[in-house]
Amino acid sequence: MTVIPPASTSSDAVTQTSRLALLPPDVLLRLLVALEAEEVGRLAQVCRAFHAITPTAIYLQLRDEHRPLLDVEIQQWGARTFKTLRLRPVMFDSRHGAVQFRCTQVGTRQKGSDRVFWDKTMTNASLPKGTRYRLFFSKWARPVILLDRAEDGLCGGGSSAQKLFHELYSPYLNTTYYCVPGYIGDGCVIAHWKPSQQEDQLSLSWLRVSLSYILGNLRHPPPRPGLMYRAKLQQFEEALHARGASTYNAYDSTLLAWCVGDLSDTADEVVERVSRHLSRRQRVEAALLAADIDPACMWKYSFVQRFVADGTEEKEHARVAAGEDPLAAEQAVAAEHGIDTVQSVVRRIRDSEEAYATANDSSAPVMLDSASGLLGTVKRAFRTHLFS
Amino acid sequence: MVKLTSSEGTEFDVERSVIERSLLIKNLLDDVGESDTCAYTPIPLPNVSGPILAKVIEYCEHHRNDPVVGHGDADAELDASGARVSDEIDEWDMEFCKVDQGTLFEMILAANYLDIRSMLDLTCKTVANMIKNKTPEEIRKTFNITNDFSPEEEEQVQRENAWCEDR
Repeated sequence: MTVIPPASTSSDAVTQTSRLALLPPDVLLRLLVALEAEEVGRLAQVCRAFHAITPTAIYLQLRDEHRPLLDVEIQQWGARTFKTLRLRPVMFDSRHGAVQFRCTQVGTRQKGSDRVFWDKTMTNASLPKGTRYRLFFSKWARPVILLDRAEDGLCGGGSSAQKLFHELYSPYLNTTYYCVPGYIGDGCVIAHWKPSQQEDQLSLSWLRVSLSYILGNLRHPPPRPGLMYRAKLQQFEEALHARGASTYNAYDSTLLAWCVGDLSDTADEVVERVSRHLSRRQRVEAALLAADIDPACMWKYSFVQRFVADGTEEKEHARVAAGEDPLAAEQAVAAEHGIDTVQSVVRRIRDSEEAYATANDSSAPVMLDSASGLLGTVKRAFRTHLFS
Repeated sequence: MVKLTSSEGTEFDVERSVIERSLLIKNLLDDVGESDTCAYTPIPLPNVSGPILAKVIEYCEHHRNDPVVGHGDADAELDASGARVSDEIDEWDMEFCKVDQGTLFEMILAANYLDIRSMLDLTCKTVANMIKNKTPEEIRKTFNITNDFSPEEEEQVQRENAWCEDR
């Protein structure tokens, strides 16, 4: 993916009569902010000059019209009460397409309830290491998240509920992140968690999210979001290829720290420090792609979420670092702990997706009509504790 | 009374309370004080042509009794919940903005230069309305803009902005 340079001030695109493109940037920005975000997005496709300025306009539009822009739901496994961090945007890095958020409010919510009780005295919360969380932006429609029934058998076997489970799935709402010290995330979402005063607890320093990720879930099915820090990743990959290597852990914390500008090392130095072993998430994604399955569907399944989060991955990496073949290392660790391998996980996903596709071809479409009562029934039956 | 001179040298006499909707001129007059000099010394406005200055004065006269919105009131148009207050334009303002595109953009630049926030908002909203519900190609045609993306870039930009296509 290439980085599109903005037009120079003497761009050929701006003809003498194109007064709109010749407005001073601050005035153009004021004009764009008067539009809906969707209209501004369309304007970005007109010419380079608009493409360069529209992300800032969209950011300002979202910041001013959707307060708070972002709620982060924190799900603590096994707990009856969840912590919710409410974040506010504090900065937009238009060069890298990243919106930075900071926690401003903390609330709690009982499992199965929509109501959040905000603690006005708290502006940041400490969370236990390993806490699992997902993001929800206030501009997104409140989703109906249906519990994954794959554990009970194949999804999509003609059941309307299972069909809805697939149809209403959004990878944006289901991508799961973990509270670990340092930098965690991917090309769309990066968080920095720092040690808290309480032992084994972490607090959020900041969260950066790709603007296109926030906007992507406005559409169903959502398109693949654009990445943040594309230019830095391009630079890193060029340095990597110059050394004859092609694989790396895209979620490596050193790489994330370098991308966000917290490491001043050169790309060559970072290449030295970033692991060449693909992360478990990357291996699942690659295997799904190889099987002609959209990797975005992986977060649909709770067994995949558990698999990606499993700490035994570190043991695999240790064995690979000791010279063992990656596949053999994975199988050895899987056998030792009685858990899935990438192959078995991908096989289960493929079976479920194929069963859904087959059922979808032969059965009548499910109407999301409240009058039929079907959606309400399904909601009650499969409502999950997250984002209900 | 205050005397203003447009870029071509045309002079306009206007009541101080009217033209003080322009924060640029208000600050200038406040700095000069209540001396008589301001009544007789024309204020040169080299960035504003006569016909546009006439439009600006017409706007300021019509809105002379409106509360002034300053730069510090960034949230003035937002209600308590943070939602934007109606973007509707009243009838007089709509008629006022029924001008050719060149004049409209001159009015935007003049409102920006003279620092008349409400007129800038009005003219920007008018252009925004001309953009609404148009495809990128229609926008190019309306504002005479050339598509300077390469085919590959255009494809990438379309992918990036797939979220805003009709749902």
